Amino acid sequence: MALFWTLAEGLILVYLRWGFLSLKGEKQRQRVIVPFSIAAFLMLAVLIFAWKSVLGPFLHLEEGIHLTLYRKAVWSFFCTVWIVLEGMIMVYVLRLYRLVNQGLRKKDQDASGSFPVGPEFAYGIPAVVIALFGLFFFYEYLILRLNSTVGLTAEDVKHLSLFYVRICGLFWIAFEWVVAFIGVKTYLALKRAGRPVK
Amino acid sequence: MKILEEMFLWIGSNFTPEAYLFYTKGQGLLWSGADILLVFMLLRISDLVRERQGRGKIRFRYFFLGASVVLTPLLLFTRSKREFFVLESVICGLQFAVLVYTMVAERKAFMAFFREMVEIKGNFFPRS
Repeated sequence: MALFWTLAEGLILVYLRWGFLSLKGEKQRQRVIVPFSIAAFLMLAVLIFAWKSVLGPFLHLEEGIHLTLYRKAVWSFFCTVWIVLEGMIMVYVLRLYRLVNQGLRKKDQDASGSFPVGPEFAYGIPAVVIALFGLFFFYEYLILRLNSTVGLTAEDVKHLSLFYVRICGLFWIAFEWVVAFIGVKTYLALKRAGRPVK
Repeated sequence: MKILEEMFLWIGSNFTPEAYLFYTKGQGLLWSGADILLVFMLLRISDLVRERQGRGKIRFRYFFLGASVVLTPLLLFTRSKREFFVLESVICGLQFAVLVYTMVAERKAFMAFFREMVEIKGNFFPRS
């Protein structure tokens, strides 16, 4: 299920990127992302299906708390990947909206739109990736630190993992509402552009 | 760091699966609401594009989206993580299927339409 939703989000992102680059006339840049995405997805599949044989000997996963820490960290990692993908989708939706909005403005000075001409959210993707993976690593670091200093029980680790999932949920909701809001703005702008001229 | 560690210890002892389910229900309603709105807007934009091409309006996709609207409030009445997960999968599955089908089936029409707008080659809509 984790892999299925990663694939689903990844496909939407690749599709949006393709659409954005095609409209900008930079379609050739899409070539890089497809093999990169496939390689990343295969690595995630290895993480899910072959973790014990690949990572087991290094992380002492046969021992109780280590196994719980690892399993919960993998789940938290996948949650982070989903919100990173959703955040990147949001950035491309904003970029697409800006592109379309500029076109509409050139055609009709009265067309609605609120984004001034400026950078195309150039730092959007790095900001999303660094902030969200930073949050994940910091959260896991604190759990590992507490485990080595205080000594956490498996139950504590599960509760902390559940809490992290809900933090991810907040980001997910924020990103989805931004995309939905841009959807409303795009529809209204297009509808307005289609009105007969008086 | 000390405050964070104390907070983590508190979460470790108090954020039970029951608390998790409670907050998940609230969040589920919020993200389903956003999904409904964004898929609805995609269908409305798609209808604008189809109208311009003289094609008929979308019907069945609105029906599937409507089914997800009806199911969404039921998230509040789920009694376990599993029940929530199954219902959420059905709701998201319906919305995702409509989204992907629309993006795949209408991709050429979308691209032609948006390219025309970005490049400003002419009228976007037939003027009546």
